[in-house]
Amino acid sequence: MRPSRRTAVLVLAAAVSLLFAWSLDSAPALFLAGSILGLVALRAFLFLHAAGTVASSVRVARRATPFIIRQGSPVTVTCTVHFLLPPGLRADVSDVPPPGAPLTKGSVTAGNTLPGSHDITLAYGISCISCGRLSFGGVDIVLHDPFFSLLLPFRGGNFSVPTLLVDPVGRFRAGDGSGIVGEKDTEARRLLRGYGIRSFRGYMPGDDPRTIDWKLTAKHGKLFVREYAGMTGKSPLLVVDLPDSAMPCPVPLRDAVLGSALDAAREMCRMPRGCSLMVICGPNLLSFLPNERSSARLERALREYSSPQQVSRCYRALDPAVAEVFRQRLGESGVSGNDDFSRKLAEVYSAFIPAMEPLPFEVQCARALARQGDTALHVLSTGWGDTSHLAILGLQARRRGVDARIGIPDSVVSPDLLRRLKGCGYSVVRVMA
Amino acid sequence: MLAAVPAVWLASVIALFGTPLFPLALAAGVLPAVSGLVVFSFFPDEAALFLFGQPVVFLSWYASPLLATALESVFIVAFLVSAGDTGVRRVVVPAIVLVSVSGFFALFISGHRHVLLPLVLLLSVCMIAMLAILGTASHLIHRVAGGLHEAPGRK
Repeated sequence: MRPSRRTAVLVLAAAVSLLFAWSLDSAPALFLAGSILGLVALRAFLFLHAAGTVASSVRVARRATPFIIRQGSPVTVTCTVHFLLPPGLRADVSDVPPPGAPLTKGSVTAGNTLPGSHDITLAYGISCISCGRLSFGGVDIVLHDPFFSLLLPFRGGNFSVPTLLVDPVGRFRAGDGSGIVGEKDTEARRLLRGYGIRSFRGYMPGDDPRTIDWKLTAKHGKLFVREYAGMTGKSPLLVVDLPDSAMPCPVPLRDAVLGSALDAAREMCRMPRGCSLMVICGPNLLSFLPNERSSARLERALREYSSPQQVSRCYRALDPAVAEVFRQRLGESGVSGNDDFSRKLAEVYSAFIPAMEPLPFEVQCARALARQGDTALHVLSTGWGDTSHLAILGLQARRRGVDARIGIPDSVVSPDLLRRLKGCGYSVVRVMA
Repeated sequence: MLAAVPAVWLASVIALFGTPLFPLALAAGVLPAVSGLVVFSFFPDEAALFLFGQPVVFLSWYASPLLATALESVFIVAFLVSAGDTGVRRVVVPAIVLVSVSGFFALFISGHRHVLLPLVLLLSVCMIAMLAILGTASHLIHRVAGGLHEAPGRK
């Protein structure tokens, strides 16, 4: 609550009068000071009473179109504020956009001085730079009268709706016709017809009339048909590796992976057999959607796990087959030389290899990859922390002859990481910008 | 407000006629009136006129404390009306309250030889009033910002 300049002058005059009364023992000066202060105090109480009346009458109806958007997309907001203004007050109404959403058009403020019931409509546009679930800040109403002004901040509840769902921008592109995401033309005839023309031949009864090439027909005087190339593709399995919420992970990394995953899911679900989605957090399977054609379900599955926790962890997990290879190499070097350490280490390997059991995550990956014969694995991961689970996934894909690719953000790329991932069975390690 | 200033001045001059303060009352009326007109012509402000009229009320105290109370009440009502307040609740009720309180305060002051005790009492009441005002404002702001409230339309 702020006093106006008029009020400040009156209070100053009262203070001067009080000082005068005290120093000169002047009764009339004291009386004047008391009268002025009494006037100011009474007006303050009346102002607060009127402000309470306004506060009790405020209602807000807000609409944002669209409310599921990508980072940076524009949103049109229409906010209607209803309130009752007593006589003698002036109101300035402001809508508070979500944080990280600067104003791009229109105005978020409007004023009114007439007493009575009002419905003020604010129409403006914002651009959502932040990601995630963004709620509106609320509504601010500043009340003025000749003596005081007061800011009433309406927050929470119906003053914050609707909530905007802002997805990070997908910065990863799977490639053009690579056979992992999307199909590619092939010379052989297939059930699915491609877009390219393989050859031309004479018309035979039963051919689709739509394949007749009229230009060639007109040139030679007899019917010719186009033979289209076949279309081949693989059923994509998209694996999204979300970072553990208990470990600090830079927000841009998570946004890069999530944005790319949403982009890839929207593209892959249009494939003939849809898209299979695995959401993991380290060696923990959070969600598996096989052959999903609904983009909404895929997006919901990706957004559902905003802060996943790694219940199970594997640190430098060793695959039994890899351990067996190590044991054999150690055994050969122990036999060939006088390397006592290698011999003893080989004995240790021999002791625990038979007792090694596959992790539940390995079993889950094997089942997911074995669902359909022709699968292409596409992994999106932050590459943050331990990458044993990525190695497990890559090895499972290599054993089944599944073409595996992985995408990681460029901020975590290192030569060592690239070498390890390629050694794990990933044919392509793509860097997300 | 422009009409109230000369009216109050005339009343004060009439009350002080024949007393040693009469010339001072004349001067106290003319100078503030001229100054007030000059200020008002360039920057209309009721608060300035209200303050320019206070010396007249100050001098009328020596004629009678009740006269000073009455003249101050006239000023206050004129000030409230000039500031845009209308109606019973915003003019009549505050005027009645202020006149009553001012009258009691004037009688209280006039019954004391020195102003120290009334001054201390006034300061104490002002502090309590200020705390009450700030507390009420804080409660209102807290209410609308998401605390306990009865505002409709909120979950």
